[in-house]
Amino acid sequence: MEPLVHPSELSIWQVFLQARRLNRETSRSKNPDWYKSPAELTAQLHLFVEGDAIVRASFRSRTGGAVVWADVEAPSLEESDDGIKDYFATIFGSHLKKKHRSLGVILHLADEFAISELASFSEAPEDYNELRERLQADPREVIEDHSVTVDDLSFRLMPYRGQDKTPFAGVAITVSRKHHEMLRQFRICGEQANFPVRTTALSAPLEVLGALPTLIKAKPERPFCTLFAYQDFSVAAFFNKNSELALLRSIRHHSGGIPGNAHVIVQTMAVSLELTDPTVYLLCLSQREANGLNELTGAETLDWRADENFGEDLPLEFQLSKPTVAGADEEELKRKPLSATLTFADFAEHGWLTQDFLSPTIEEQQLHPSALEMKILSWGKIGVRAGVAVLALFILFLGVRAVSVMRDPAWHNSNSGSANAGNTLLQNDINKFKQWDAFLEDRSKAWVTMELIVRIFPDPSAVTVTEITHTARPEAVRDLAKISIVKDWTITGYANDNALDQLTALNTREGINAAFKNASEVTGDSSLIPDLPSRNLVVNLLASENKRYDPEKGIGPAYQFPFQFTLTISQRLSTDDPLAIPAAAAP
Amino acid sequence: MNPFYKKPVIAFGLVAPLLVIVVLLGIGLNYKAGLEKTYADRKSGYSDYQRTQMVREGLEETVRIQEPIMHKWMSLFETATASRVNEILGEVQKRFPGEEFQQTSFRRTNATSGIGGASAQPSVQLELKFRGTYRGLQNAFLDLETHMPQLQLDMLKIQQETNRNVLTADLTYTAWQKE
Repeated sequence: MEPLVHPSELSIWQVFLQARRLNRETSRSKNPDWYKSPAELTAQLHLFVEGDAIVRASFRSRTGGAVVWADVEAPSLEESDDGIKDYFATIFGSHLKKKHRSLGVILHLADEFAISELASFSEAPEDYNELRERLQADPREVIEDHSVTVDDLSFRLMPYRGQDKTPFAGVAITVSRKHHEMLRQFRICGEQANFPVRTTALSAPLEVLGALPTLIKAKPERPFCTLFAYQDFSVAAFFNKNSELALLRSIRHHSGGIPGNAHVIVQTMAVSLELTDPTVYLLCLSQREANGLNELTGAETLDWRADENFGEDLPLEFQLSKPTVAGADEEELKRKPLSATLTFADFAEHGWLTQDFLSPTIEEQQLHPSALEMKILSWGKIGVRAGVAVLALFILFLGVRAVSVMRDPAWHNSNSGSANAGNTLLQNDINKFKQWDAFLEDRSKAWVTMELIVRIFPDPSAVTVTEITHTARPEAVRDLAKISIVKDWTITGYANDNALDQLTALNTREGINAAFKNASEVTGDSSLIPDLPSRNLVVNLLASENKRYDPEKGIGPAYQFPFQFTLTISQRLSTDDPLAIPAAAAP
Repeated sequence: MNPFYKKPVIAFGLVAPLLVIVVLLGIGLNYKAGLEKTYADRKSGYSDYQRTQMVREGLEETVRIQEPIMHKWMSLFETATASRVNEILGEVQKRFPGEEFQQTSFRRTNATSGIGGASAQPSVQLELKFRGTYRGLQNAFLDLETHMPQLQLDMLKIQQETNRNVLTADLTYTAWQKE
């Protein structure tokens, strides 16, 4: 894989490409161990640094609930980059490959322990965490001694809960950065092997401090002091009468072993802290020959190897890499009297004792995306794939739909307009036909009128018609499509008694209707049909005695018939009638 | 989160590609909506077309049936009305010679009274006078009105001649004209 470039030197797009490359080419998105602390990993390499060498190396593996320790060859502190690479390859091949997904390298620093005083602060205890961050980011601002060269040193805050005279008390535990490069090489090996290697460097005395609640079974009645003895130095931890940590002091072993005046130093410090007659506990923690480390005047030796909670074959610090778990489970630890003190509760809550003194630099940490960003990239990738799949399915569906639509004859139809036009022409022809049909209807015929007269007066011997007048006239009404018609018949003549009776019968609605109906049936002329709703038929008979009646006087009809009559018939065909006259001209 | 990676990863790893997909889906949905609308319009048009075709078939059948009748009607106007009237009456007179049927008067006017005057359809008026028997006159009118359905009777007046066994008939017809 190409070397990574710090994102501050890249454009925003290049930063994204680098993140995507890491997401694609490494297991960072799939293996959460990249972002866990070494103590959380199932495989751990514990290295104990004392004096000028790594004096003990053990491989810890956890499978299920069982923890297995195995001693491994310790790397040299002087190892070159390639040497570390080879060492990692050996460990990887023998202990990690196909067995574990990650490795935690835990360096227990028992080669040095220094204390730097902090500048005076008046902050409340709640500000410890902020102060811890400031101490790591810019120690020069926080350390009291401004002459200290901070670049090669690592500072971590350690609060004193037992100093109740001031609202805030603490010191900066100081170690050098000389092992930083070795841990960095381990991390680089992990990067190159695409195998999470997480590192941490813990201060061995601080780790042991966390084991005191387990080792001191009963809460001391009076102030006490613990002395953690290593080859090159001892660390004295003073606790007040409430078992709260009041002070830490480092005592150099200039001539090997605990200095002869160490008990005086301890007593002097106790007096300065106003701790009356403290109990002194001695813990010999060196992994080298313990010459002169087991003797301290007036001290009670705490034999941690005899404690049932710890194994005697491993350094105590290895077994304390996770304070809340090491030696006893959390519930059991809480039952220890010392664990209830503010000091140890604070240690457990804020992890003051397990601070990483050689954590990766800010620049190194910024080189890689965080776990959340990796998840976002993975979610984004899944989202994009899902989106592309949805898009592809949609396009497929759209294509199928488009083909299906375009196969439909309806899609290619463009004739509706011309079809309508053709129909309009045909309809015009039909309308023209209807119009002419209406114009040519048999609405007024002379021969039909003559046949009607014959039907009204069937017996020529009983009646003589002298005049027939028939008119058909339109009723002009504006703005109507059809024009109504009024047809009048006036029949004048002479009749005898029988004919007069017939005329009288005719002079009724039924009589005239029957006569018209009969004439209509005989002639086939629909204009005489009397009983359409659009028609109105009225008859009026005016009959009188014929004053010239005298059969002896002449042979003319005026003498032969006793009665004379005038029969008036009026028929109205309304505009709704089929025979109404079209107002408009035929098209 | 790593402040250097946060924005690029969110912007290019999540938002931008999803935005592109959403935009493409939007374009696709828009295209589909357009396609469906066009299809619905064309389908509707096609249904109209099919309905129109069915109507057309009916209309064509109607026109096909009406066409010879219409043609016959239009042929009525190929000969001038007056000539055709005289021609028909001449034929009648041959069948009813002498006093049975005689035409006594014929006059053509462009008067706007009568049935023709009420309609916008062009028409002329014919005033005819006859003498004859009832049978002769009725047969003449039957022939005339059957052969010339464009004649619409405006007025008919039949009188018996004094002391004679013949009738006089005055008729006024509206004769429809073709434009």
